[in-house]
Amino acid sequence: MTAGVVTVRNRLGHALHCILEEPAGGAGGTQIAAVLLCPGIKMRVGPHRLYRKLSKPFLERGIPVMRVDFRGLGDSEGDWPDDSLQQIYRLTELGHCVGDARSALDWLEARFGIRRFIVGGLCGAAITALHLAAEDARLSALYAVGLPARLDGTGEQPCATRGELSSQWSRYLRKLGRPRAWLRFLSLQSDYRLLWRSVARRLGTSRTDPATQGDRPAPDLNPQLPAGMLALLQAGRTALILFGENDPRRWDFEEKFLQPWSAVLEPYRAQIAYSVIPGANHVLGNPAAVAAANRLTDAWLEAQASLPQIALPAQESTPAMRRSARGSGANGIHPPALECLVKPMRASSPQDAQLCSTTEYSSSTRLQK
Amino acid sequence: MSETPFFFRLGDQQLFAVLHRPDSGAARQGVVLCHALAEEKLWSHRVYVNLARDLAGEGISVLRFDFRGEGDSDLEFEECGLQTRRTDALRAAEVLLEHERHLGSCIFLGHRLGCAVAAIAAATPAARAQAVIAWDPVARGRDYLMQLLRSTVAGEFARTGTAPTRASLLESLEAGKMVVIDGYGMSPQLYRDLVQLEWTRLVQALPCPVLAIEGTRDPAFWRESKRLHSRAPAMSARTMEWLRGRSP
Repeated sequence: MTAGVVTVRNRLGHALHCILEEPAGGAGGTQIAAVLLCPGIKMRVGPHRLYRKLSKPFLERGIPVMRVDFRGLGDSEGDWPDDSLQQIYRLTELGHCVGDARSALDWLEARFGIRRFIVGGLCGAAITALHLAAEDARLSALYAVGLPARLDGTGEQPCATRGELSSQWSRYLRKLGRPRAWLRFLSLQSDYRLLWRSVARRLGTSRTDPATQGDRPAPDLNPQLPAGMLALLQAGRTALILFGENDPRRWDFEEKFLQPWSAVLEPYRAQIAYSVIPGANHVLGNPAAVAAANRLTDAWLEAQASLPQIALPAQESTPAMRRSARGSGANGIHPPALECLVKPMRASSPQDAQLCSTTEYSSSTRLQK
Repeated sequence: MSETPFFFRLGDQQLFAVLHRPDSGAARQGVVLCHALAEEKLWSHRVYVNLARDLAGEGISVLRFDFRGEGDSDLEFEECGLQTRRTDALRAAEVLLEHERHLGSCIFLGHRLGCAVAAIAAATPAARAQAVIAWDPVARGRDYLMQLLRSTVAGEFARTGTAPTRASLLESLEAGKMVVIDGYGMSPQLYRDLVQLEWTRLVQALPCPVLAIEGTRDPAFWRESKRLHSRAPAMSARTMEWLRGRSP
């Protein structure tokens, strides 16, 4: 495998400096490539060089991987209209960088003749890929880690999810015996609003669903999430969606999108592979989480029979992995940690309970928490 | 000015770099930029880019590069310590001077832990160091390590409500085990390097002039990255002024 620098010109003329990792046989002759987009401000390599680590299952299957810096980020040219962190996040969620992502695809098509792409990455990269999915048919599959459902900077107070409040409650209980936690509480440093909502939720005095405000969609839901996802799925394309167990964005995704849209998504259930990685945070910041993500990715790639030209060499390391709908239980054994996670989630409809599909493991390969 | 991203070689490995050169005429000085550690590097990256562009605009060639184990360069983070970073910085200086053959020497500019690397590299006779510029140098490696561990423990506790203690992490490092901090594997070697690091001792060993611009100390830098971004123009201006005074 080799890594080289590629300079892509976006449609505004900015030089976007990217890294192209080629598999052992080179990128020539392949008909599909993976494009990992800049996740936020942490440039094309990602936090703790996550993208280098996540590239492995693609490269091992002969799929070249391009890591892309957006304009105004990393080493690329250009600037942001507002370089405050919150605005960078908000603009990314609104699709500010989708043109740059398209330019990367253009470059790969012009250079190697590749016309099918797996696009995504962590957080802002995943939502940018969804924007792209709505307008570029070359995006064959979405690869999303920690996909944000929330739109920052709406002016609305972020809507806490049931999962978040429940998690907070557990954390408060664990902190009861810690003098430092009491010091924070008594010195007015705690988030009292969140504390109160967590307590109210626990006591059953909260009358509406915190995430969806009753029947209405959450006011801070990014409208591009349902729009982009449906555009992707309706065109017969697929998605791998991964979250860390301790990533609060998971609850946003499940409660603000997956559950309210369950009936609409039901026909496309087989196209979505959705998994939660036990013990992992938003950036998959421990080696076990990265290894789990790569095993899930590898299994997903193997299942992508609709994506031709993905070499499917014998995978000695993952013989026991397979995908099936959550709840079927017949094709494998659910990892206990995943079962533990999904049970407290109250499904808003019978379909909802079956919507999430996940990679399952035999007893010999289940994820270790 | 021009910007050229490329990989340069060091033995079997390759390191990512960007060379920023002035548009017109020969560069009057050359700067090798030694970045901060791990997440601090990522949060600060755009400051480095802007600084390099500013310096190139002033007629100075700048080589930015990723140490091995960081960014787009080879090796894993846990395989690298201060000595590999020193070797990388020295090789980067060679590469810069290969591109700017009329310059007989270069300036090492470091940020945070990169200051220590810059100083160690500059103290090497073969480095042909003209000067060292230090932005927010890490004063004591042990304190810095404690900040990193404290941050790791606090972050983990905030996310999950449970976390190992700092003492237990230190015990692991002392016992020769790797500890993961913000996704980066800290090796026992890097731990030992940090524990022994004293900025003032490094400065005393330097055979060349040093400009130190100090600021952020605590809390851990990347939690306060906005402060660097807001202070960067002033630090950049101070750096430029000092370099103008040293221009041949």
